[in-house]
This record gives sequence, C-alpha cells and structure tokens, in this order.
Amino acid sequence: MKNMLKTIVRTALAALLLACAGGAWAQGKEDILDLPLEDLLSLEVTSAARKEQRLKETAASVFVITREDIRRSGVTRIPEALRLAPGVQVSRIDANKWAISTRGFNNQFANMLLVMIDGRTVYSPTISGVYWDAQDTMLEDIDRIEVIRGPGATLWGANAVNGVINIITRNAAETQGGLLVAGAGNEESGYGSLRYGGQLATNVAGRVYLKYNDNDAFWNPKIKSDAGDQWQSLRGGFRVDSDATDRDSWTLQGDAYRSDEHQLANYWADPGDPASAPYAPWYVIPLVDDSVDSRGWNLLGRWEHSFTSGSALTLQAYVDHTRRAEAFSTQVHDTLDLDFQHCFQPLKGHDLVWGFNLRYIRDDFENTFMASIIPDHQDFSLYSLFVQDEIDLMPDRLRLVLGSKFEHNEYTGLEVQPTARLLWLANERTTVWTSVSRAVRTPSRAERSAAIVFLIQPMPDPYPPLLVYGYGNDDFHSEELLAYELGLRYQPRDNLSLDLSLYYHDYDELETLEVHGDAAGIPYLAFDNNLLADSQGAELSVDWQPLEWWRLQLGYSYYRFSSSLSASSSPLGAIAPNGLATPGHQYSLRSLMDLGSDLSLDLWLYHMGAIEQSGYLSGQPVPAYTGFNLRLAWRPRENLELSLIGRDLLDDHHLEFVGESYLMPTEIERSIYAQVRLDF
Amino acid sequence: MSSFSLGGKYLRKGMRRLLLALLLLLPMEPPPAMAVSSEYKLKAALIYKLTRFVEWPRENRTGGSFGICILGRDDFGSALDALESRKVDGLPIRIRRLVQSDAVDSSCQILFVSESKRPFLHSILASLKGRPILTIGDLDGFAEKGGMIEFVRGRQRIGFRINLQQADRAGLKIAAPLLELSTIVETERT
Repeated sequence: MKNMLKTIVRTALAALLLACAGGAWAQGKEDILDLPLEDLLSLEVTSAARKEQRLKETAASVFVITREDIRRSGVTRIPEALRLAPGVQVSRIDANKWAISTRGFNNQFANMLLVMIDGRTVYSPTISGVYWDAQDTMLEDIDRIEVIRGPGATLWGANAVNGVINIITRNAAETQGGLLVAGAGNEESGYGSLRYGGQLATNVAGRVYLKYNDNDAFWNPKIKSDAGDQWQSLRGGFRVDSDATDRDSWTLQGDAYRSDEHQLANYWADPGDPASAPYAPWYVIPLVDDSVDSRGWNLLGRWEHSFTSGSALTLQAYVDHTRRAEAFSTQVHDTLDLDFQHCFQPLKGHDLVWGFNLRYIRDDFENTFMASIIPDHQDFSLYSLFVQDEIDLMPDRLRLVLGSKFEHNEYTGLEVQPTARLLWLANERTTVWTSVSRAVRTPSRAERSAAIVFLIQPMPDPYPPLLVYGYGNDDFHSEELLAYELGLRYQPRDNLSLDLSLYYHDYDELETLEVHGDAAGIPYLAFDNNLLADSQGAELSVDWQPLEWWRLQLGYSYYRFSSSLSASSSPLGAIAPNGLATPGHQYSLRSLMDLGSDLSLDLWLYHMGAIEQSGYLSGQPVPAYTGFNLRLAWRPRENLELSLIGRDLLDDHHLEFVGESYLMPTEIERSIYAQVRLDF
Repeated sequence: MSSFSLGGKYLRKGMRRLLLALLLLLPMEPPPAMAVSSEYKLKAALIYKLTRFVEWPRENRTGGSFGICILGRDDFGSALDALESRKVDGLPIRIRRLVQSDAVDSSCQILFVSESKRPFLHSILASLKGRPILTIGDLDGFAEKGGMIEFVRGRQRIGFRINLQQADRAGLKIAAPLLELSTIVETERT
C-alpha cells in the first residue's frame, strides 16, 4: 500500500512539474479559437488507431453501457453497473463478492469471461476468474462499458469464451476540472470520489482521482444476524493523455488500491496439529471472522500513430501487481504485458488488423493447511499473434470478417481460435449478422497445481480422520467451445430499436472433478476434462423513447443447458456442476424520466429466474427473485446534483448466489442512500 | 457502521498525501481548449467562428450574454467551456446544457442539437420554426430535416451544409463568405 501510494504521489508530483513547465510553454502557442475559419476547415480530424465501428455494423452480440446509463443507475461500484447489460448475470454472493458471467457458467470463480479495463486484463491467473472486489475506478470517469456476449477470442484472446467486458475510461482532456461525489446510506455506509483534471501543457491533459467506499455487512439467514462481510476500499489513480502531434497520441495511466474486507467462514482445522483438538472429530472451525487484504497497483502506457495512408498502429505496455491475503491462502501476481496492433488497407475493400501480444506472469503463494499451490512460485509466459480481415463483399451491403488468433501458453502449447462472421446491412434500419467461432479457456494455476482440503471425515477409533484432497492435474487441458450465432438489429422507427441474438454453444473438454482412490484406498479428487455440453439461448434488448422525456429499456435473456460425462470419466464418480448456475429467464425493465430540466425519476424492475445449483461444490439452489430500484435526482444548479437511491426495495433481504466451500449463504439487503455530486 | 481497522494507519496516511497532491494540482491554470478529442474540439471552435458570419435580429438581444445551448447529450466535454472566456459582439458567451427542448428560450442564440435527440428532431425543429435561434447539429440529414447548419465529417475534414431557407425564415442573415465554404441544401418534403 505504502509503495503504491508512493507511486501515485510521485507521479502526481511529476505531473505537477510538467504542468508548471507546460504552462509557461502553452502561453506562447496560438489558440485554436484564433485560427481563421478557412484554416479550421482544412484541419484534419484524427481518428483512433483501434478501429472504431458503429454498433449497428458489428457482427457480434454487443451491448454498450453508456456514461449516462451508469449515472442514472445510481450504482457505486463497477460490478453493479454490469447489471445494466441484458444477458450479463450479476449475482452477489456477499457484500464483497460477486459471481458474474454471460451465457452461463457462473460461479464465484467464473472463468469464461474476459474482463479488461482500458486494455488491461484483470482476471486472476490462479482461478482464471475475476476478483470483482478489486476491480473499480471512478465511475464518473468511465466513458462506456462494452459488453460482448459470446466468443471474442480472435481479437481479445484466451478466456474470451462466453464474453468480453471492456471498461473504457474517458480521455483526460474530457475530464477537466473538479468533481466530487459523496453519499451515505444504510448499506452504503459512506462513499466518496474526488477527481481533478487540468491541462499539464499544450496538448497534454491529466487527471487524478481518489475513491473510498465503506460497505455495511449483509444478512446471514443461518445465524439470523449480520453476515460479518463489511468492507472498505480505497483507491487512487491518474491518467495523462496527449495529442502530441496531429498523428500521434499517447496515454499514461495508473491506479493503486487497497481493500480491507471481512468474511465469516467455516474453515478446516489441521487434525495433525495438537492445537486443533477442540475441533475434533469434524475439525471444522465455525464462523471465523476472517479478513481479506487485497491490494495492487498498475501502470499502463499507450502510443497511437496514424499514417497519412489511413493505417494506424498502437503500442501498449503495462505492469500490474496484485496481492490477496486471506486465511487459507496468500497470492501475489506480477504481470508484464506488451501489445502491438496495426490496421491498414492492403487492397481496396479489405480492412486488415493484425497484432501480437507478449505476457509474462510471475506468481508467489503462501500455502496453508487448507489450500496449497505446488510449486508455490512460478514464472509463466504467453505469446500470441492475431490477424483479421474485414472484406467488403458488396460495399455498404455485405461484409465478411475472417480471422484467427494463435496463442502459445506453457501449459497447453499452441491454441488456434478462428472466427468467421458475416454482416448484412439489409437496409437503413435492418442489420443481420451470423458467425461461427472457436474459443478455448486455458487452464488456471489451480487446475494444474492445487492441493485443497475438500473434506475431513471422522473415522472410528483408533484411526485418524480421513482427509480428502482435491488436486490439480498436470494433464488438465483447455476447455473448448464451438459457437454458432445469429443476430438481428432492427429500428422500425427513429425512437424504437431492437437487438436480438441467438446462439448455440457446443462445449467439449469442460472441467470436472473426478473421484479417485490412491494406492492405500484413500479417496481424492482431481481436475479433469470429462464434461460435454451444449447451451442454447437468446438475448434481447429493446430501447423505446415514446416521448422526449421518457425512455424505456427492456432486456431479456434465455438460457438452456444440457451436459453429459464422457466415457473417460472416473467410474467412482465425478463432480460437474458447470453450467447449472444460470437461470433460464432473466428480465429487466428500466424507465428513465426527465420530469423537468432539473428533475429526473428512474425506475428499474428486474426478475431473475431460479438457479438449479449455485456454487461449485455446495450445489445449493437459489429461488427466483424480483428486484426494484429507484432513483430520484434533482439538479438545483447546473453543477450540483442531489439524488436519492433505493435498491432491492421489494424485500428486507434475499439470496442471489452461494459462494464456494468455506462461505455460508448470505442475503443482500435493501439499500437506501443519498448522494451529492458537485462539479467545480 | 464500521471504520478502518487493518491498515487504517496506512490508508489515512496515504489519503492525506494524495489529498495534498490534489491540492497542489488545484491552482493550475484553466485549460486552454487544445487537447479534447480532436473532432469535438474542432467543432467547438467552429461554433465560435460561425458567430462571425451570422447576424441575429436586433430585437433578439435581450440578456447581457450570448447563449450557446446544447440540447441532449454533451459530446463536447470541456471543449465548449473554453468558449466562455470569449465574446460575441461584446457580449460574453454563456454555455447552457439543456435536457429537454421546452427549456429552449430567448437566452439561446445558438442551439446545438445533440445526436441523442435524433428521434425527436422533427418536433424539436418544428417548435423552433421562425425563432431567431441558429440551430446547429451533426446528425445525418440535419439540414434537410430543417436544421440550419449541419457539420458533416468527410474522410478527414469537417464541412458545412446550410439550409438557407430556414435561416431566412428565422430572420438570421448568413454572410456570403460562409456560404461559399458550404453546401447549400433545402428542406426535404415529407
């Protein structure tokens, strides 16, 4: 923490020095407002290097959460904002844990979704999933969140199996001046964000931010009391952007965070340790008030250059450090990532993008009796190359996208992930697209090298209790997906649009936990790839603005799943709950009303169907529930907004999801808070 | 309510240092309008320049300021705010951001209609018909639908399309040099 904050403070001070130096320099330079009109009209408008496409011309199931959407939802953290996208299942396990996925396969360590913040991958290599409590930023500085449902492996790489979430913050030039957001309520005990952006030199803009959240505990229905999962987090960061020349721009940004989280858990006591005697014969230590200490920092630089020919290149590098300590494990990761992209037109009607990526990950674990990673330290590298061509078969009518990613990792070697997509712009108001893609989910460190206590079984005297372990497997390989998709975007009227995606996902080699017996007859579990499955589903979003001051947004998603164990599965049995933790139906209806230029009222009703089996091992079902959120905002002055937010108003508390072994079911409580937002 | 326990000292200390750094940044000079995503930076400058080529009727000058209003989503970021340090005909420019079209009043000399208002463009422009407000927009077909000046983006540059007929009806005079740089269009019949 100390080091991370030092990094921020140093960079902020460096930015300040730059500002002073730049200020003097800026004065000599001519202001764009003083240029004659003819000169302005002859200025070239630069475009971003990463190919920006209009939504209606994308051959994939995409939903964009806008800045306005986030603001009007009244949420205080990134994972909660994701509830805005149809087809994204956001289930809260407790106050500081979320299970989030698209197109099924949800659990605490959901691993089929690739999540990026400003081009930085944020999943943990230990679990191939995302620790959502550690992912946040100043929400007001987010430009948009792009949610891609379905495989995005060709452009984005492994683990983009069932979806990609791309969180993009605003250019520092767009976040000038000061902004203060603060609020408090019963569950949101207190939070505040402060940002200040300024001009550091001619063509160089920067901002710094600081965000603090304090959350109250949820409800534990088993002990009928506080769930002991309260937490606080503090983070800060900066971003500097520059249009160095007409053709070059660069970005430097970084964040540092720390959160102090609590969890009430049941842990295993080591029967071999005399101090564990009081917990015999089951060796469970109940209701431990454990804390999670999660911290990290990252630093990213990006340079974009556009050529006169219209081609463009992007070079990006980042370092990312994370550390997470809880009673059963401490994990440290350092990642170094280098990314290069180039897009150009080799022939008329062809838009070619290619690039490569190098990633180096170093991990370090402090093992405990309950969970070990062996060896406890590893260096891992990953390199990949991708190429994608977008071909105009008929200009402005029919487009074909062909591409593939070739990724090499030390576990499974070369993985090839191709895609073919066809886009038909039928007319001004109708777009139809279809695709076939292959994607893989590469093994996590846990699936290869873990040794976890799953069960302690008392035995009749004089035998010691039986310890059942779950082990990683050196032969565990990638999970595979072949996806078929079909989509329609239709805008029957200017104020009504509809977006529908249908998919069929065919999975192979999905993860299972197989039961085996060792030479002495003692049972153990080991990861393997013995599940075959397929899923079918649909995602629908409708946006209707019946009146200038009233907007309605409807979201619906359907999911159906079936699976079977392959013949090579262990005759002793296997645990394979994958795919069962997503409801068949999810509905969401939002109403956004501007009751005047200074008053707005937003209502949000949503329904989640029942979950058959949540939690990988607990297998606990979750009943269906309906939620209702409300936000009333008043802007007495242009730079001041006061709002009152109510979330999950329909019941005192309800269950959304159950986490893994050590955790008890925890219910989310009704939350009411007030917020003030001030631009200065 | 809970407060910091573990590591609270570090957090508090860290927060103090960061706030200090923030305070140090505060007295920086206000940003000149140079670094905003270049498309809207340029559009903001163009809006300012256009005021030199348009003549508003005398009776329209009520307040002590020149109002540039944006209706709908503001894509300019801070680029427009930079105009507030400038004047038009001796009057300081004032930027107003409006949510709904019924808030448009005589304090707006220029109204920029955002892309987010596309579904209601017809009724918005109809409600402004004949009023001496220069309407500007960058959504496709803005000028044909009855807007006065449309910003069009070519492959790399920005140009104008002007619906002269609409400006005339509102009593606005557009100077010849601007017309020479623009494409003139007429309101499409629906």
